[in-house]
Amino acid sequence: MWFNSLDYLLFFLVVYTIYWSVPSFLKKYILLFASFFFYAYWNLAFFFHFLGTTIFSYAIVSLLRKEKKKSILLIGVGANLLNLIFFKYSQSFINGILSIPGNEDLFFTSLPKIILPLAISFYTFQIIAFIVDTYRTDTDGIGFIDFILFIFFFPQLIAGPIMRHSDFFHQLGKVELKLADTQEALLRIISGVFKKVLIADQMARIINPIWNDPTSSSGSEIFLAIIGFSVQVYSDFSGYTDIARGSALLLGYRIPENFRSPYFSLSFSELWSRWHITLSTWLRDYLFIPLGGSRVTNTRLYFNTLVVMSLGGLWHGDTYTFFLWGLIHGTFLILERRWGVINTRNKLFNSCMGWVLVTIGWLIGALMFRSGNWETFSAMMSSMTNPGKVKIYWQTFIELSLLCYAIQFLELKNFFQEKIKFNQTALILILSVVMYFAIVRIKIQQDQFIYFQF
Amino acid sequence: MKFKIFLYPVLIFLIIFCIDKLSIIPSIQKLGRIENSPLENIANGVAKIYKKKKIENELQTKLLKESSNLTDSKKSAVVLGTSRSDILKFSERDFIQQSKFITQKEKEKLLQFEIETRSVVKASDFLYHLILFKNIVDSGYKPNLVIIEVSPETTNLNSPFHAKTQYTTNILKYQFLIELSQIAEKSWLKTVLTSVLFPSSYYKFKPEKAISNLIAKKDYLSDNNVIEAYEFFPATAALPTSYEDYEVKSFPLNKFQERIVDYSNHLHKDNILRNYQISTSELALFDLLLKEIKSSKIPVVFWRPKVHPYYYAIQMQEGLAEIDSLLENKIKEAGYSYINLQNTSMNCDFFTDSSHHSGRCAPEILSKILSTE
Repeated sequence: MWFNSLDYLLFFLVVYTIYWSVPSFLKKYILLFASFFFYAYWNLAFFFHFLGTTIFSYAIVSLLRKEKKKSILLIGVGANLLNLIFFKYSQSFINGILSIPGNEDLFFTSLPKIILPLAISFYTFQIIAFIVDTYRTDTDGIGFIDFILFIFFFPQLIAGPIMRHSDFFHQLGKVELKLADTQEALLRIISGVFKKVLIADQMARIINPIWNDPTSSSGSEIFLAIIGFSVQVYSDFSGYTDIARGSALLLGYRIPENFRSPYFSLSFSELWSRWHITLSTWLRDYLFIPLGGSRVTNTRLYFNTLVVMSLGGLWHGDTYTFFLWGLIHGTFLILERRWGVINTRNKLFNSCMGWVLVTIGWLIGALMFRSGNWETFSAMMSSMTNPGKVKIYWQTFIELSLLCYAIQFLELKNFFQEKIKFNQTALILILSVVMYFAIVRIKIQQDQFIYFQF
Repeated sequence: MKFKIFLYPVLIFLIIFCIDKLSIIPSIQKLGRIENSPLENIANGVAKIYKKKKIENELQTKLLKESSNLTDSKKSAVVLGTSRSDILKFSERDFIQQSKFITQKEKEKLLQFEIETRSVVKASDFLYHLILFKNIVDSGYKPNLVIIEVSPETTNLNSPFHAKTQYTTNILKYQFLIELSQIAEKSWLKTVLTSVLFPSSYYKFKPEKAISNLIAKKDYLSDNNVIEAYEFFPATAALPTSYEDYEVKSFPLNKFQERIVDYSNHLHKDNILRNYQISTSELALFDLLLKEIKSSKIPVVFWRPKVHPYYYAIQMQEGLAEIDSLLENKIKEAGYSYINLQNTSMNCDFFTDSSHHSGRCAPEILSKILSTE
């Protein structure tokens, strides 16, 4: 059930109506049932797999509460990681074996294709965080039902934001309807739909033909396709997050932000504090710090950075282009730490050069990220020198790119926050109607969110 | 207060839901909707022809009443079907007279008819036949006969030309969308329901376009030249000298491979016969067509086109004999004539490919169809 579908709209309307009509003590059960339905709607068998994983993890949590043994922690974390690795990487492993000449007759050929369960990367990290938090601190007050709701909570289930227990449980049982929250939620949903449907999906239509057949495109088109993808991926994921946060807020829950205008970052470390924030902080708290954090020798620090970023890349996908994406961003962070950011007397120059370097680095990464496999990556690289004219829709391309940056600028500066307070209702209504009629005219709709595949 | 806040998003949704419905008010819809779709172009184009014919008929009837010296003119026959019916356009007077496949008596009977094939649409289905038949009825024109093709592959749920595709590539009237939502299969029910619930998304309604058209006193058809062009298309034609066809057993080897074997495989694997699965929606559309015919009181005859034996064997292997019987039973139960040319002995056994009888055979095909009348 995608957020940009009729199914979700109807589902949410029903859940919203029932949720706010029942007494407070019933609300979490309604949410739990809705979340179960939300996941089972995709695949019933994997719903039970997910439920089983969650029950097992809660058993580990219960054991840890009785006795904070490292072995129990390792079993809990290891089992969840194995579950993720099996579903996410074993098919690639099998494909790799089968691609070796002479290996076609192995018993692997008879195995059914392994399907990647929806949201497994996100819920695995959320569960691991909870297990580790239980080991490190105290999660005693959180019961079984509350834990399951925390993991299954449908607005953020499919592609995050990855929550910590401190993001969620303090709100449980205390939700109430507030006009300001409802208005903010609606504005977030409108913003999310705008980013997803009117920017990301439209940009995808322009650049996908180039990505699908790079060798027939000119070098300039290849460059534009990479820039276009950076616009698409931000608008897509940030749009999704806005809808997720808006949906959660309509149900009374405030879930964490994932983006803070990342394309205005002036250094790589700033970029990673603005892009996919909940993943970055997860990697910091549950991988980087246990590896020693920054209180180690420089060599060890660089090594830790590379490990964390490469694994972060692999978390996204099962191909080495994702690994390389993480590795290259790790390298940028090391270079920045080693030599520092540009620092002259001219602050404007520093900012401009910082922005240019981060943008170039981001685009190099975007090429690897979108390629997804070596064939596309090499085809894109070899086509960069192709002669020929640009045959894409220039005007739309520029408009969409500018919109992407304009939105981030407004979010960065909270530009309209005070100015629009005078009549939020009229604003929401006008924006909703304008948005609706902007969407209905699009001929092909409903592209899947990019991060749903992870 | 809490209740008001609760209602806030619901009211926003309801307001949009109501504004959306403006697009189903015909006078507003025509100001802001998307340009004409293919089926509408054909329907509007031939409707203009029908209206002209209706006036001619009325004038002729009046003249016949006034003068006993005048004799009744030709009878009219409108053809609805796919590319298999398209060959029926090869029914020009001279071509019929030269045909060596039918007798003089058959030629004379055939020449009494004026064949109208501009309503034939390649790769169409029962939805097309139904809309185009309604179009005849709505125009007020009453042809002497309507000839409708019933190819069994039309009932394939997985055909690329199934109603679920035709519905998305065309613009249908809102009332008909509601009817479709009642017969659509699970695989496309959701998209039809979306169109019914949010018609602006189906009609691609643009409010700003509606306003500018209102000011300019224009509508979505103002700049459409296709309808006008339709009138100039010929209803019948002579067989071109370059026409390439072969007798059933005389295909040269390379042509047999290309036009019979490869083309059959293409139809079977990737086209009208791919993963054959009977479609309840197409059958329901056929029932609606029969119902429409019944209430129109226009004489109709149905025919099943003949295909090359090589492809026919594949059709049988997919169980299409049962579909032929099913459609025949429906037609006969409704009290209409039906001829299955596959089971009919024919003098003309020429084909252009495995799926299409040759245009050379058009006079004999028409003659056989008319013989059932």
